[in-house]
Amino acid sequence: MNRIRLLPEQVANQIAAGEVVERPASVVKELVENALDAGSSRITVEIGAGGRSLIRVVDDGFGMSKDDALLCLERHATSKIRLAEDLSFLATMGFRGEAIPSIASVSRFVLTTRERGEPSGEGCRIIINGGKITEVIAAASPPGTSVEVRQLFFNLPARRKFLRAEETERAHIQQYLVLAALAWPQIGFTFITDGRIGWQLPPVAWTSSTERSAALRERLRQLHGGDTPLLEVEFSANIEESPELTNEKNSLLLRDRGRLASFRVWGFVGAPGVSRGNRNEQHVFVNQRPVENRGLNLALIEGYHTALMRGRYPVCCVFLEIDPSAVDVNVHPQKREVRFREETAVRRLTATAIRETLLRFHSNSSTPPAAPEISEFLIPELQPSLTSLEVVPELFLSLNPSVLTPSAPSQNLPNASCPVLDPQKPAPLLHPLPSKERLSPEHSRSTLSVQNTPLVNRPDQSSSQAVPHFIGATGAGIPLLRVPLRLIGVIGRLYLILESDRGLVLMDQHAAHERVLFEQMLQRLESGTHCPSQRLLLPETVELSAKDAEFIRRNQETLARLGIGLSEFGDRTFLLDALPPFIRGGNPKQFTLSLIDDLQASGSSVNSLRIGEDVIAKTVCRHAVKANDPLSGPELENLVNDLRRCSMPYTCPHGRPTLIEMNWRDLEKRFGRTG
Amino acid sequence: MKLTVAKEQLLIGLSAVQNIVGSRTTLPILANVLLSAGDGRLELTVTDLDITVSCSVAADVELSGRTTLPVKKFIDIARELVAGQIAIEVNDKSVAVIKAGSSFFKVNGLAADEFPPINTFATKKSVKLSSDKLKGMLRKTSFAVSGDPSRHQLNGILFSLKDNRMILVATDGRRLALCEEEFDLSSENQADFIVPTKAINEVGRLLGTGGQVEIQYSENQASFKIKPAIEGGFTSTLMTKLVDGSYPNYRQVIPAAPQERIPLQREEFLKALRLAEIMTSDKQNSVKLAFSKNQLTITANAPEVGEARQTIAIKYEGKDMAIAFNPGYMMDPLKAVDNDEVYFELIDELSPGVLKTNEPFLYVIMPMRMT
Repeated sequence: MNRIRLLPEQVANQIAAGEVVERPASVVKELVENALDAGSSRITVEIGAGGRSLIRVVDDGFGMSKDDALLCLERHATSKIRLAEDLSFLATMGFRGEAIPSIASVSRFVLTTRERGEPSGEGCRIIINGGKITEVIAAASPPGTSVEVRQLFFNLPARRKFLRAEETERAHIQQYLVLAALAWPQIGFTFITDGRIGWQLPPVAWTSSTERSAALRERLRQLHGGDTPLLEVEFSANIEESPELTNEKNSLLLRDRGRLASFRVWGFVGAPGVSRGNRNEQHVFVNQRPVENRGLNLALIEGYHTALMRGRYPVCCVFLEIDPSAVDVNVHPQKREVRFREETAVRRLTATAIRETLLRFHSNSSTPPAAPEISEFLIPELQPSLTSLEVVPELFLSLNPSVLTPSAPSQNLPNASCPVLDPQKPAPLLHPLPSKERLSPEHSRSTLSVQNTPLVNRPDQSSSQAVPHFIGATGAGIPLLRVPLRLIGVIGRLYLILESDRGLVLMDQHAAHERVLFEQMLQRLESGTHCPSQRLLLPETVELSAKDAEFIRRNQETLARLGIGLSEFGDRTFLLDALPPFIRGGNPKQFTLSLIDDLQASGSSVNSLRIGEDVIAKTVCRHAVKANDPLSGPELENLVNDLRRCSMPYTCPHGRPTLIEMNWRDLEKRFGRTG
Repeated sequence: MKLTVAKEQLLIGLSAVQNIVGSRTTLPILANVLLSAGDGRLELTVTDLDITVSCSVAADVELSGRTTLPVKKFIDIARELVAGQIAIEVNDKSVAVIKAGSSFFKVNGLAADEFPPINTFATKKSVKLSSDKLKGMLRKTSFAVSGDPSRHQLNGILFSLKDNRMILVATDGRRLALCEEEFDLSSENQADFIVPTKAINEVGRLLGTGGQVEIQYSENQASFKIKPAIEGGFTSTLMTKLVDGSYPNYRQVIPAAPQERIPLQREEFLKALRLAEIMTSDKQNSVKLAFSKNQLTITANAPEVGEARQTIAIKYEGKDMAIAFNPGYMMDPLKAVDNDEVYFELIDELSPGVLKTNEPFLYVIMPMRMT
């Protein structure tokens, strides 16, 4: 008797459904992607009971004729590709032709569609029950497609048991929709749960790429609220042109084939100091497709590097645009993962894009706002000399309550000889503060509110840990250290109080000094290209996994430059026989593994400092002024000026913020002056 | 227990043991000193469970017995008392009454039974040598001990007793110091063991001038019994657990055939290194030694600090050679030895350098690669 038999089509579909349809969110994803591929301008998603009882996706796309509609229920029937070669040039979200039959086979499925431009105005409705077509009828329908999925997994009890609570499934669906909405701002999204409108996002049209990023900003504002300071990323590169890659065989292959992969990163990343305790607000898209990729996650963190605390994750919405041929999306049935042909280069370029954005935020941004005339210049009453301030900072504050109140800069007050730290001129001098009226609304909105207001529509409320550091401005705003700051005093022998034209600024003297020393030290050390290397008397053998061994073998040259001697001593065994003098060996195996991690994270361009950065950060921490170290006036001014010269001034080397800003509006709100 | 002890004798005993007492301990008894009186002597013992130090001083014992007292309080009392003779009497509740001249103290102690029992040796291997000799050997090796806790077998000095020789070795993986002494050694007393750094430091402190040391050792512990040169002085004993694990094969790292053997005046060489070191920084801590005909040029160059050059006249006929070292590693042995002349043996700029003296002392130092 034959033991092997061909499975009936319906069983095959159910098995395929297992891959594609994992939970209601995957149904929504497949249907929304179809709607997107159909060129819709509005998509409505309605769910009931977390998607268990109902998922309805309505679009106004091309629609289908009756024949197409029937054909789309067959497996591997698709309009999106024709040949295997098309897989390399995918421009659509879907391509497998699996989703519709798979979903239909595990639910009660109703497809209503009318082809756009169909003269009769008559659409067609197909009713399918667990994969069996029960009815095909003519029906009135607006142009577009509406798919209704009821009682998901009704015929797969095993699957149904694995569904989580309604709330969880709803959150997953919403999480996906947020991603889709971010990727497609030109499409209006409406999300309805259990008959109530969750959110309704109007389409934001764009034609040029600048409009596109404005559209994305608008979408982000619609979804997350506008209070997280974000920086705009814009970075293009050509993967092949990078010189570092010439010795890697992959790129040679690519070159041989004469291909040229263009690469662009754009979107928004949180300003330095903005972070979350999880990756929930870290959105990465590759060719408009939301993806999870470990390498990209690491690249983001690497891009932030010291601007991010260990164990925190960036807040970002980043789009990678890469030649479709250089990326493989046909890896995961739900296309959640992608593979890059040039993984290392993509990682390196992404990290560079982020790093440059963060650096530009401080160094390259526009000059301070056009200053009004000196005659208009009005600053609040000033304190005695700074030195006396130093001795009794608390006393000073109690004597001058006006300092802490948001005294409107439009009051006429006598000019006092107070130092205003100007970003351009190192010497303290009076600098006009623009009157409040002159601040554009953009400006006043730019800084953050004090309260950690929960973001609207955050999918996972319980883990909302967004830490608003009141730094910088939303994108277009001017970075804090670029505006004139006036030193008012020190409290608690730790926090400097400064006044900017936007409000109150607090600065942590220890964190700030740490950052200054850290960058000075790095600069000094970076001058030499090669690192001296202390040979070891007792070389240690390190046994590595085959993968790591291969990596070390390929990077011998880099290692030599770093002053690290890891010579081959057998197949997967290496001999650690030299180290840069400032690195303490510790456990050789651990050291080698963390070295491999560091190298993989930062690419072959690292210098030894990257490896020894922990040590440097620690040394710096020891040498930096501490809390309670009394600093006098000129020292404080110099600290602020030094900080301005840093390339990443807003966080200390451990990623903690150096500055906190509270704008006038916040203060006014707190004092009940405005609603 | 009842006795009278001279103030200076008590202070000698207490200062010998006080270093072992930790200020933070979860076992209160470890902050106490065990006093046992008998036979005209008072023995003070302190332990941190790894190292036990005891010191025996002369005392006028009326009633023998044992008790424990908190070390810190006891030292403070002994140090501040004016009178020369201190009378101590302890009742069965472990409360000590200390009287001296017009002063009176009542100190609450803990019962002697609570004090951790002192291990005894299973096998009795032992050697004897003079205190001065051991002190010299420790001084010439202890600076090279590793402080890196991840390589615990290097956190101590290797005592190798073999072939009628006693060899002490210390290394931190970047340099190695070795000191050797000829010795009459019976075959049953042969052994290799590693004495932890803390014990080494304590032994170095306890060793006076003159007198003898008896080292006893077994599989997992060793003791140093230090006897005074003069009759009636205090004797002290340090007992320590040994470092687990086997010491790396140090023979292997000693270069066999040097290319050049360069005699150097120790003081002059050390001075030149000290001067050059000024111009190094935390991260650029290397000095370059350039040997040319009858001349040694020592240079240091740290981009952010500046540079230094020292020239000294030497006897050198070989080919020109430049080799870089960590100046600290280079100076340590020069400070530890007291010979006027040292010999520096070299092969090439990437091979280890060896420093020797006329005595059986040897120091291997790994160069730094400069590119």
